[in-house]
Amino acid sequence: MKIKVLSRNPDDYGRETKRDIQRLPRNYDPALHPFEAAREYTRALNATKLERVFAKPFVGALDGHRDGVNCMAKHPGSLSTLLTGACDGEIKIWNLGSRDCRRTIQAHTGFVRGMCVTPDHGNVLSIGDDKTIKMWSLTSPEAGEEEEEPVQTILGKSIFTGIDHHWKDATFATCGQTVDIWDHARAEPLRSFSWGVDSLNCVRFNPIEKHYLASCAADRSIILYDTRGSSPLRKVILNMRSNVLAWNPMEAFVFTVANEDHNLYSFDIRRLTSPFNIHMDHVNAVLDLDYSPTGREFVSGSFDKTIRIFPLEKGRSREVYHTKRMQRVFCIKWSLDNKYILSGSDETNVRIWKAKAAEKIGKLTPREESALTYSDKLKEKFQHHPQVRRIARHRHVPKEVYHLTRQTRIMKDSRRRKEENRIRHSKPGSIKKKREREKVVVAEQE
Amino acid sequence: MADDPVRALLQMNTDQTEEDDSALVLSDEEVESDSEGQHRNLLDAITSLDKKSRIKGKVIQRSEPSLQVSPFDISSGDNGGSRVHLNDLVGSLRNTNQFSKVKTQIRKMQGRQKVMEAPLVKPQAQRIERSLAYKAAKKEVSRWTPIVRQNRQAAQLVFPLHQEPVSLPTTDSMVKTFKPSTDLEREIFEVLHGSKFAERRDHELTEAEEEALRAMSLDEAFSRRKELQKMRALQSYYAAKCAREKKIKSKKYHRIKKRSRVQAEKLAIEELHKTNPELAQEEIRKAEKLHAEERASLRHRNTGKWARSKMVMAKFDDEARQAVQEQLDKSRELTNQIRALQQDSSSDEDQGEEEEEENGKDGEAVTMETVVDDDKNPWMKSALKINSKSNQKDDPPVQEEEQPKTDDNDDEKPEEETTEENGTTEQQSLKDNKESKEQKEVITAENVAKKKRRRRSKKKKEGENGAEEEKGDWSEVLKEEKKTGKKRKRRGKKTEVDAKKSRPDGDVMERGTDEAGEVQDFDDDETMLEEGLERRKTLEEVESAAKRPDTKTNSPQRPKADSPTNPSLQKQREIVKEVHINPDKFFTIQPSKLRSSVPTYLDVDDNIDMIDFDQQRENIEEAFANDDVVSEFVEEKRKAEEAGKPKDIDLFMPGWGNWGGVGVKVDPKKRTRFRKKAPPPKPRLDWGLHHVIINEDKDEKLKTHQVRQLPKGFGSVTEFERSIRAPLGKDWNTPSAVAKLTEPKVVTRAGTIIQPISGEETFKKGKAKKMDMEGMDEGGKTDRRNRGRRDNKK
Repeated sequence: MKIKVLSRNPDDYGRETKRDIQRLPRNYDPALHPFEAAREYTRALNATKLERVFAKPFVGALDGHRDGVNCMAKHPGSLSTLLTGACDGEIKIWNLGSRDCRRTIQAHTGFVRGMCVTPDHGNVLSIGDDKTIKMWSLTSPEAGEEEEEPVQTILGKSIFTGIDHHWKDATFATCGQTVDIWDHARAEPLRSFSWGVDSLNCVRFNPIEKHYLASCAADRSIILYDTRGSSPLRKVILNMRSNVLAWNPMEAFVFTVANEDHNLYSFDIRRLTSPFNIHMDHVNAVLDLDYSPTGREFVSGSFDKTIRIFPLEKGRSREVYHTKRMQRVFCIKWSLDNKYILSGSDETNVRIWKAKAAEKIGKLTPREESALTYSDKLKEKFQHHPQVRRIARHRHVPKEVYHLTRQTRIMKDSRRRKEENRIRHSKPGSIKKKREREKVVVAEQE
Repeated sequence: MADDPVRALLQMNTDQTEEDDSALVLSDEEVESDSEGQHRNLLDAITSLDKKSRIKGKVIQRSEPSLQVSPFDISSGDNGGSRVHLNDLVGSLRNTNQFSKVKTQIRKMQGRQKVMEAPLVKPQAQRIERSLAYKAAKKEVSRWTPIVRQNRQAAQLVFPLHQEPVSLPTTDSMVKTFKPSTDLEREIFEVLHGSKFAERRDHELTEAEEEALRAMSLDEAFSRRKELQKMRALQSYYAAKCAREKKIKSKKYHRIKKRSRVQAEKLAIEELHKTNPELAQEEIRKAEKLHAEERASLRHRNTGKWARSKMVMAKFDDEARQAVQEQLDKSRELTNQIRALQQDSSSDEDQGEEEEEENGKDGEAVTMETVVDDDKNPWMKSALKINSKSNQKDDPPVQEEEQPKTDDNDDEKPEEETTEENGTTEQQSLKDNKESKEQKEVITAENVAKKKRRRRSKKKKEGENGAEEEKGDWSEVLKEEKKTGKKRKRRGKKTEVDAKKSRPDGDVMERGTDEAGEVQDFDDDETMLEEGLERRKTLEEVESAAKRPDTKTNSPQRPKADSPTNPSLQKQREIVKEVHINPDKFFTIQPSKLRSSVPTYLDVDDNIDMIDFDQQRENIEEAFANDDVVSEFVEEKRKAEEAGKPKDIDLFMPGWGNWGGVGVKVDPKKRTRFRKKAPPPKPRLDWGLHHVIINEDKDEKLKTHQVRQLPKGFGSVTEFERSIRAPLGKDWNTPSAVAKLTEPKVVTRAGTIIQPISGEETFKKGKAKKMDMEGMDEGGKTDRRNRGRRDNKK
């Protein structure tokens, strides 16, 4: 006969060791824990406020360049290595952990226009205004040798403006008057692509489908290439010139361009008639952008002296970084562990930022971690509530940016009003209202 | 025709300029020897070229292609569109028998004679090339679409996406690679593997067994082997049988099986009782314990999950009702049997081995008495509950108390009496068909029960213990009665009433049984199914009202039928009636068409709808018959109004400006002077609206915290509210649930390089299959880990 008695298993309340946290038996009866929505709302509000309190994104600056930092390169195999090229032709290799410069190379005369590390992590390629492509070894010279000599130098016919390396093979692409595909072993390009433009400013290999290339040209166009074929694939002409292009590292057919018209446009290469998203918030030309390695977000640096982080699916930035001393941001990179953002700007400094402004650096205890994930979820849950949203969205921006934002808004409103009026006062159906996305692409050329 | 090409050539040459002509001639001349005569001949031939007849048959020239011939010579550009066709050049082949291969080739070529088009202009060609290449690129890239979509929708992504699966070694793999290292291990290993007594995987017998077989004589070995085989076969048969039986889902089968088993056990006990009384006592004690457990537990009461669920269904489902009924019967049986057993044992002790029939009767009588005596016992029989019930009533008829008993005693009467009964009832039944059917059923059921009993009494004579059987029979009779009662119920009320009406009052016994059955039914319903009698009846009333508006003609019969049987029932009904016609307690509600989302067809058939509406109202009123909703609401509204009124403020302070303390009289004028009169209340919004309360004091401060617009991604307000209402925290959820609810969308590890997604990894051939296998091996853990993605499965 089974007789039920009240009994408690010591495992349920006892602790295994002295250092264990006392296990608290909980009664989940909802009657004992009333007002759950209200309480969680308060918690969400507090979490949002705390997030703002702890939002200190600036980690540190790397000081050492004597001229504006023009380009940057991440090391694909080492998180602590960063390469920067300055406007005086100097390349510096930094150790991000100790925040010091490991090596300085006087690589070019004039600007260093671009850099990339080879996929075998052995060398770095750089181009400059002196019409040369130089390959440098990443292993530092031994104590005896003092002169830094390039491993290889290729003299080009014209100025190179951009360089990118194939993600696997020993080939790389440069752009200038044409897009050239080079092999490490040859001094002549394997192939040259041109499509009626004399000046291209950026070329990037697709990191997933590695044969594809995209470049931005001075004639406001974006051109796609396939390195296997002899001709380019397609050309899209936008309203204004695109400065930089970046491929999404997780979605093979998605790329984003940083445009002169203050916006960023995300395209699907299968449908180039219009971008699938417009990312607005900058108030001046966007000079550089880089995707986070998760492919969910990207960061952009602008001529308006700010850095903004955009989620790929959102039209507005989720974060804006700026400091008083930071000038035009020429180059920006998202670190490969998705934790930091690195920016190089006109005033010779390289800055390190956190990708999540309020994130705590360093190891978290499990309790801290669970508390943070809980508050994150709460913020997400109550994000539509006006108070939470107000606090979460509040940012301080420089006066210039603030006024320009207002000005842009007014301009945009007036333009919209004008369009509406035009539609209202014309024969119904004669003027079709165009969506903002449809206005971006001027022409798609085959 | 042999000289056709030559002729053609020559013809062309004549059309050409002189110089060309000579050149050709020169070439001919080179071929020919330069003898004078021949030269002349040739010249003649040339001069007489126009006259075709001259050349025929005479001059056979050999023409050979020469590399030095200028291509411009044979141009057909400006000589009237006469082109050189292939036929002109190789037509002579047709006459020869040789070169068949060449000829067929030429024929084929002529078949598909087509002129190649001029190449496109370069830009155009390039455009086509580009568009083709772009199309190919699009196609190539599109293979990522499902992966991208999956990643975007994933509830959680763990980066880097492709992590090496971490797996624990399985026992099998460990065993395969195991090598004994210590002495003990070695020893065990030897025993397990080296010994000839160890079982072998692919052999039937161990080595030792085989040796033993070999050592036997041939016959012996055969017989031994046969025996072994037989044993094995039997074992497997038995296992298969058990498995088969276990698979049978029929409850009835199992019930019957169990019953037979129990029967067999009983028999065994009885057998034991004869042979070994001590052991039998032991067995009986065991059975007693079983019954005690049954009584202590609520196993067959209607408190279990299953029973409760069935009871919910019972209203609508006859089967469920029956199932619950059966279970309760079972519990009753089990709890009763203990008494029977005790009685049985006691009688056994007392009387020893008397006549079985007498024994049975005696036992029965005793049990009846005991049962009647202790009506406080909660484990008493259901039939006797009626007694207690009737005791509670104001004026219990004395007869009723004894009726079941008499009924049972009647059952015990010899058969002739019952047949007589049958006859009389049948005579009565001639009056009304339905009624007679009803009666027949009752009595036939009784007859059947009696027949059964007779059958069993025969068995008893064969030497079985009768008391238990008798008990069982008794309960069976009850069951039978109940069943017939139920049937009656199902037939509908009218027949029942008719039957009652037609029954002669003098036949006490008949009426008694019937009433007992009915009351018992009522009782059963109340205890098990919570289905009140009055409610069902009124429902039927409603039903009949909906069907036939002339039910009122039947209504006078009802009190007649009910009044002698159950006064309390009538009382209850009267109360219900009162509720129905209370004039104060109802609102006049107009059926509003606007609010309901369900389409109403009032316009189509007004009458039907009105009737429905009436019926619905009646239903609702019935449902809320006991709780006085209307007056409650009025009271609530009054309170709300009261609370909304501004209150007077009493500023009077005792002792202020006066002497204070105990016993000091306060001037009432002063009291009123310090009372601040409240301003007259504002007119309420719900003034004059009797059926609403409008709450006017809303919190303005709350407004700033409320969401004003429905956010994106939510279909409706309720959806959004639901998302807010569900708490995430550990105050409301278990730790595991919290962990699941608060999972971050993107997980990255500090210091880990996240490489771009790679096609080689993602589209690895046979990767899916392999992963499935891994998942099966390790409980699907690696699968998730490997993809780095958790799907939205909620």
